[in-house]
Amino acid sequence: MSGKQGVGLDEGKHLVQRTHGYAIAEFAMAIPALLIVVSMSISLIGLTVTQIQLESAAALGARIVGRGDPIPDSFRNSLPKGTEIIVEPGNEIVEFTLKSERNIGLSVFPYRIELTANARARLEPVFEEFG
Amino acid sequence: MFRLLRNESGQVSILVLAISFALLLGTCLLGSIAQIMVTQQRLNSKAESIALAGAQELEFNEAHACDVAKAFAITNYGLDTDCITQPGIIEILISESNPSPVFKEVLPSIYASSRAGIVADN
Repeated sequence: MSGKQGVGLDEGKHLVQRTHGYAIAEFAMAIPALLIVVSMSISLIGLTVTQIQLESAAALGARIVGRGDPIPDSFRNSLPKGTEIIVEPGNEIVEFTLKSERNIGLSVFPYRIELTANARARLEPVFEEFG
Repeated sequence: MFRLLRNESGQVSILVLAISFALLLGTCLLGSIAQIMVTQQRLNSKAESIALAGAQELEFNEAHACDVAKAFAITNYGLDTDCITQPGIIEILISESNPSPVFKEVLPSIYASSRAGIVADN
C-alpha cells in the first residue's frame, strides 16, 4: 500500500503556486481607489480656483457699489455660472456677497458645495455737480 | 525560500498602498496650499478696502486718514493695521495668522499690503 493520499495543504499545493496574473488583478482592484484620490485633487484645484475668482470679484463688486455705480453686465458675465449677488447697503459701508454652487460629485451622484465670498467697502461721498 | 521570493502576490498591494498614501499626502498639502492662497486673496481684498476707506480722507482730512482706515479695519474685519500716510498716498499693512496647521511652523502669519491715493490735478 504505497498509495498515499494527500491531505491538508499538500492537496491544494498546485492551486496555491499558480500566482500568474495576481499583479494585474490586484492592480485592477486598486485602480478605483487611485482614481478617487486623483479626482479629489482635481476637484480641490477647481474649488480653489473658483473661490479665488469669487473673492476677487467680490472685492471689485464692493468697490463698484461703494462708488455708487450700478453693477455692469460685464461684471455679471465674468462670474461663474449661477452665481448669486447679494448687496447689503449700510450707513457708511456696503457689504457685497457672492454665492455660487459647484458640483464636485459625479453626474450620477451629484454633491454640491456652496462657495461664498464676502467683501466690504466704504461708501464714497457723492459730490453733486451744479451748472 | 526562493519560491516565496518569486511569489508576486501582494506586491502590487504594497505598491498601490504606497502610491495611495503619497497621493493622499499630496492632496493634504494641496488643500493646505489652497487654504493659504484663499486666505491671501481675502487679506489682499481687505487691505485694498481698508486703504480705499482711508484714501477718502486724503483730500480734505489727511491727518486723520490713518485713523479712519484703522477704525474701518477694526469695525469690519477686527484687524490691527499698520498705516503710513505721505502727501496724497496712504499705505496699509495687515496680517492674519496662518489658518493651515501644516504650514504654520514655516509660515506663521500671512501679510497683505495695499496703497491708495488721490489723483493729482494737472
